[in-house]
Amino acid sequence: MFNIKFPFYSLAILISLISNVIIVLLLSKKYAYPKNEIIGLLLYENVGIIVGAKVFWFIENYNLNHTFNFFSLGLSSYGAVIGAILSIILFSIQFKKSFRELLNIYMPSIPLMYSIGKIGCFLVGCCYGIEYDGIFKVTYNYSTSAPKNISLFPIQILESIVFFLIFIYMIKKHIKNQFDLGLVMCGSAKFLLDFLRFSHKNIILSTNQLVSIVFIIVGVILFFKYKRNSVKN
Amino acid sequence: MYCINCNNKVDEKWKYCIKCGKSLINDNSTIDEIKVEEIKDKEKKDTILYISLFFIGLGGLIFLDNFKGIFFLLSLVSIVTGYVKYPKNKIIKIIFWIFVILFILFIIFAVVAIIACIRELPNCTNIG
Repeated sequence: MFNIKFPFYSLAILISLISNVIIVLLLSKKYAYPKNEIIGLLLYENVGIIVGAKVFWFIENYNLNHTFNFFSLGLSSYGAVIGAILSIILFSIQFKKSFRELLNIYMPSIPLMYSIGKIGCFLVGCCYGIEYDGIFKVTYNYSTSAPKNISLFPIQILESIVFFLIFIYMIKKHIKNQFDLGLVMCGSAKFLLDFLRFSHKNIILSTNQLVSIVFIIVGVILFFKYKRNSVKN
Repeated sequence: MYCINCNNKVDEKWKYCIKCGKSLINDNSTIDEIKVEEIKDKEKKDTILYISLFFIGLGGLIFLDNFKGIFFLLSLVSIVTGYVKYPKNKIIKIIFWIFVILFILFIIFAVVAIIACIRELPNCTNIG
C-alpha cells in the first residue's frame, strides 16, 4: 500500500544490540563491577560485534565479492561472536582484568542477540531453510534472498526459539563457567540446526558447522581446565 | 596525610575518614601529599594524551579518505582507556559520553537511512 521497504533486518540488529546493553548492565550489578569499566567494555564489544560480523562475512563470501566496502558488506553471526570475544580479550589485557569474569557477564546476552537477529532474517527471507511442505511452512513472495513460491522450513524461527531458550537457561543457572557452557551449547545448537538450512544442500559440513566444532572443542577444553583448577584450589 | 579513597585531608590520629568513612587503620589507607600531587600530575598528563589521541583519530576520520577504520579505532581506544582509568575526570567523561551518543546516533542513522533509501548507501534497494 505504501511502497516502503522496511529494513526489518537492520531493525532486528539494532534491537539485539540494545538488548545486549540492557542484559550486560543488569548482570554487571550482580557482579558489582565498576560502571565505567562495564560501559567502556560495552563500547568495545559493540564495535567488535559489528566489525567482526562484517569482516567474517567478507572472508566467507570472498569468492563472490573481492571489494571491502564496509557499508555494503553483509553480517555474519559467527563473525559477530568472534568480534565480541576478541574485543573482551583486548579489554582484559589492556586493563589487566579477569577474562573469565568478564565473559561471565557478557556471554549470556550472545544467544539472545542471535535469537533476535534470526527474527530479522526470517522477516527478510535470508538464511532460509530446506524445502518443506509440512506444518508451519513458509513461502516468500517478496524476498530478494529466498526462492519465490517455494515452501520452506522456518529454520530462522526454530533457531530463534532454541537460542532464546539457551539464553533463559544461562540467566537462570548463572553458573561460574558460563563461557564454557555457552560455547558448547551454542556451538552444538548451531551445528545441528545448520543441517536444516537450504545452503547445506549437497555439502557435508558448512563453514558455520566447522566454526561450531571449534567452539565446542574450545568450550570442552576450557570446561575441564576450569574444573581441574577448581579442584586444585 | 590524605585518605586514599577520597583524597580528603586526614589527621594521623584519626581512625576513620570524616568525609567518606573509610577505615584509616590499615597502612595502605592513607597517602602523603607528595604522592597525591604525583597522582594528580599523572592524571593531567594522561588526560592530555588521551584527549589528543582522540581528536587525532576524529580528525583523521572526518578529513582523510584512507584508513578511516584505524582512525576510528584510535579514537575509540583512547577515549575508552581515559574513561576507564579516570572515570571522575570531567573532561574525559564529557568527551566519552558525546562519543557514545554519536555512536548510537550513527547506528540509528544507518537504520533510518536505509528506510529513506538514501542513494549514497549501496544495496539499499535490496532490503525488504
